[in-house]
Amino acid sequence: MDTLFRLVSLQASEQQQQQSASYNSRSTTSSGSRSSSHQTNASYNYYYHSNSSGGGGGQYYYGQQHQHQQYYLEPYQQEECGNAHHLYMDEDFSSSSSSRQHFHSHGAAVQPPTSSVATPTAPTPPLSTSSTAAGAAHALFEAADLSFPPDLNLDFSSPTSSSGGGAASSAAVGGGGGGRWASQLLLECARAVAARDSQRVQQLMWMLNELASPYGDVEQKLSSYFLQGLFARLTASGPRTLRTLAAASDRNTSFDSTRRTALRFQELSPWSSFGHVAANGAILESFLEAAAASSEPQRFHILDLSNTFCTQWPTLLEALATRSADDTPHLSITTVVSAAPSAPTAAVQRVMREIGQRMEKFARLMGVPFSFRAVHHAGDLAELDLDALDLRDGGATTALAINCVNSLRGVVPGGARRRDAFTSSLRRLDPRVVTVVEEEADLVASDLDASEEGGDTEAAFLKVFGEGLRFFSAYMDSLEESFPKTSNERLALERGAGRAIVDLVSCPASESMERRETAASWARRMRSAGFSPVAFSEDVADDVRSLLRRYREGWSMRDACLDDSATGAGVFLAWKEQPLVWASAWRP
Amino acid sequence: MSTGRGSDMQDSLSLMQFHDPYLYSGGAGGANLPLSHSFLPHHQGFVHTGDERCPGSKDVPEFVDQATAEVISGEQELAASKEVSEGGGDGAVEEQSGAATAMGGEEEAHGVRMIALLMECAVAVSVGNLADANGMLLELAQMSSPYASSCGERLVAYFTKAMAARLMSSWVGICAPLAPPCAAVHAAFRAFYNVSPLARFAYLACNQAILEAFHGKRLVHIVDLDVVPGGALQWLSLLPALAARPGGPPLLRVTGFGMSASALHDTGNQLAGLASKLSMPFEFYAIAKRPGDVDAAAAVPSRRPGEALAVHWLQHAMYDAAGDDGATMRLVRWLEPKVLTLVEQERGGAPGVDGGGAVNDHGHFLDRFVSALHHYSALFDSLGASRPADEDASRHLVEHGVLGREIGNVLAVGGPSRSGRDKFGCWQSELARHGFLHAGGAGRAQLVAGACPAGLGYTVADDHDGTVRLGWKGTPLYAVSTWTWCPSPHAQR
Repeated sequence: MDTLFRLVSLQASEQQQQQSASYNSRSTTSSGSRSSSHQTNASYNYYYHSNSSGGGGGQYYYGQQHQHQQYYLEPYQQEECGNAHHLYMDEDFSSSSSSRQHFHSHGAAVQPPTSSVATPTAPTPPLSTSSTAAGAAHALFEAADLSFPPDLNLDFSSPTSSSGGGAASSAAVGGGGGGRWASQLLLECARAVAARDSQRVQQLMWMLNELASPYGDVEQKLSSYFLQGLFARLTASGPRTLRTLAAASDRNTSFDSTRRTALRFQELSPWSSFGHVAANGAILESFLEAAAASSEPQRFHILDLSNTFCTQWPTLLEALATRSADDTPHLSITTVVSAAPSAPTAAVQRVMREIGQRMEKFARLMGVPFSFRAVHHAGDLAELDLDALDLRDGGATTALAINCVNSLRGVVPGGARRRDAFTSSLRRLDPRVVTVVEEEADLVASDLDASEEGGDTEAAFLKVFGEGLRFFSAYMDSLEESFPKTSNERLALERGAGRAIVDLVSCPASESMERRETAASWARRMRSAGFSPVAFSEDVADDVRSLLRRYREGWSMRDACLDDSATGAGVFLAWKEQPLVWASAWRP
Repeated sequence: MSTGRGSDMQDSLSLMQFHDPYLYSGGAGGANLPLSHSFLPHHQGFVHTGDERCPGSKDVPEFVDQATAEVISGEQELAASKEVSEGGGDGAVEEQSGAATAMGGEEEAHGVRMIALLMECAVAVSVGNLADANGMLLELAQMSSPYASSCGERLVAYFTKAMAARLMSSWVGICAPLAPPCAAVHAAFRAFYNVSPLARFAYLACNQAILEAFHGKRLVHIVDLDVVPGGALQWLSLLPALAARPGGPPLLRVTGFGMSASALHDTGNQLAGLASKLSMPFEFYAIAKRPGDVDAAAAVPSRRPGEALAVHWLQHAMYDAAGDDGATMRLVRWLEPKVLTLVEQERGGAPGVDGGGAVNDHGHFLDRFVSALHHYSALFDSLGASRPADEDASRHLVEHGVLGREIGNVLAVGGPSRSGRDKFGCWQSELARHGFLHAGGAGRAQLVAGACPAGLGYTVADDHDGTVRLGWKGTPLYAVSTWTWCPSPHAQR
């Protein structure tokens, strides 16, 4: 018999019998076995190639923008804050959660046995039902005798199944090619949390904790960050965890590192530049249209409601200088920097002053008459006094554009239709154009779910958890494929996502600034505020398409109108057919 | 920094209701540890006094103090040795580290802050103050990167991850390990083999001992107690050596234990392929279990008359490879090996402490923490010393897949085995107790040293009993000892 065949049959029977087996391939016995062993020899090799993938792709530059940003975003060293441990030293987990009591009582029962047992099992975690685990699960966990929840049909496209050995499996392990086990386990765990099934929660969280790593593949990262969120939820420590994380992140990010991360992100992923290009195109066309319609010299004003540190504007300034005829019109930019009320603002103010100077220098270089103003606003955007901004500095002829990039979700959704009110207040400013760029995820519990006080019902939690999981899976997947394996910039982006996940999973919706909504609901809101959609021109669409060509495969632009012609507007940026970022333009 | 929080700590402890079945019964003592002064700059010049550490001292505060100081000094050493490996030339340590303090002050301050916070966090964990520990871990998780160029920072990243996982399992109340995917373990270990010469040195020393023991034998049998990490790697160099012996190749049998049928399958295939190329008669027996879990007489093929048997065991902490140590010992004794080659990790504590090779995985969490920090800071530092530094991806694979996994298990509740089973503190002394004798082999260390690239920082030493110690800049990392089964004198041969 052929060696290889024997081994295969050994492997197949091993699952049931778990008994030792042997085979031999004595090449000196009969001629038959000799030839078979040669045959075997040809069918495998033992030279492994070390896994050198991972750096591929994403070497593209969105040159122009990149260059401009470097021009005015020069290193700026944020002052180091002290290592203020005392900030959280007086804090402890609040003990209100009833689920912990459950854990306590079960905990005593499931401590790993301390007596020595003869069975080859790992200490079996408690579950009333016996193990009817999917065979695939065994393949991943290598036959550790663990009882899985019986109805959990996990799809582990296991890296161990390939007999090709190291090269194939290390690619699968490192490249995130495995199955989507994290999503399945996490969803199952969230369901158990919602159902207050503490035993099942305990078991699933144990598994997730054993498998998770913030430094592993996408599945391990998702497990790690969502597990952190679940932990914070179950210990009722969400807001405090988030504060600690935000403060720690603030202390450990300098302006320089923020800038490096932002530039690298734009260099390797169209995630942010997609919105910039689309919005700039719409704003520019609307301005030029206004200029053409009027005989008087025009003044333009942009109200920038986005915390993107003005990375969007250099390309617009340049386009304005080259596209307008003889005298370039005057441009004002008022950028609103909003931060949580408690956040320290001194550093941000210094940063914005620096950015303002660089913007003005750049405008002079481009020959654009320009004025820049940064408004610092503590708290929710909805509390911003728009009338006090004095946007009509150039008189009634000033054409106003409002640019909202990832900022509308910063209006806390809770209570009294605050987001509706905010878009209506934008309408009252009578802008020529409003550009809205938002990440596409349905993270606001519907009115039905949120009818209870606070809107934090189990149904709302499950919905937000599942949708957040979908969205951040795609986001992390795009990061994984766009960035090199050992990129600190990617780590910073992932940690940012991790903070958003803690917010979504464990903090009350009424305080959350991460509640993204879908394009459909933003469009509905814009329409009811009295806006109508402006379709992006073919030129703008071409710009976006040529932008996407600079990045790796997988990104595409999609017309949102095709999905739902009744409410649809704008365009989507999609990663592997999944729409993730939405850009749109509106006029009164 | 820490004084005056005692009551808070006690309160939060009672609120938390964490379960740490192995470690603490109630929030015993240890609050108000006099930590603050340990992090002051005068410790920068702290002289390493590992030898003076008094192992008998059970006074927690005092121990913490010494441990902290040692870690700090270890970190200083780390920074210094990093400089050396970059600058080349051993004589310049003092000046170089002095210059580093002056120039990279910012980076070093970051490093010192991280290590201080990590230590404080470890102390909080050790006294069961998991609420404070959690807060510090959140901070550390934002501070440290596993992709940083400083290996100290990478180390902190993995220790942080390990302690966060420990804290989570304490809270969940299940401390059992989940066996890792063997393919990932194998891929990571293969990368380790490529990046660091330490595994190669260990293989070399073992293979040499096996070759010596097999001298003149026509029937030879190797029992590998865990094939999963290395697969066939080790034997690929032994087989040609056996085949090239005068008088032609012997009949080789290999029995492999391992938790993965597919890993055994691959190993068997590779060895069979090589053996047929070398025209060496070859048999492979796959036992997809842990050696401590089998009934030896039923599982292992019976010995043939005149057959020389070698047992090989490369210990690691990536997962519990052996199962029950008592049963493993019974298996090994039943096998009556002509030679047993054992590769142990030296995580025992300070260098120079006698009784070498003792893996101190049983003691208090803080003991494990400090010795692990010592061991892995040297290992992280040594990675890539023989390879260009630009191989970030494979170095990351090693750090994440091998070292990070080990750190996680070492720091976990219950230590590396996490199974609750009996584990030997020191296999060497257990072997001696069970009738094994050191099989001295003069020149083995010289052989390894000859293969060791000079000037990189790897050190090879041998004991009077023939144990080869592989180290990094004076810190012993692995001990390769060879033994022979000898129930009574003159019984062998």
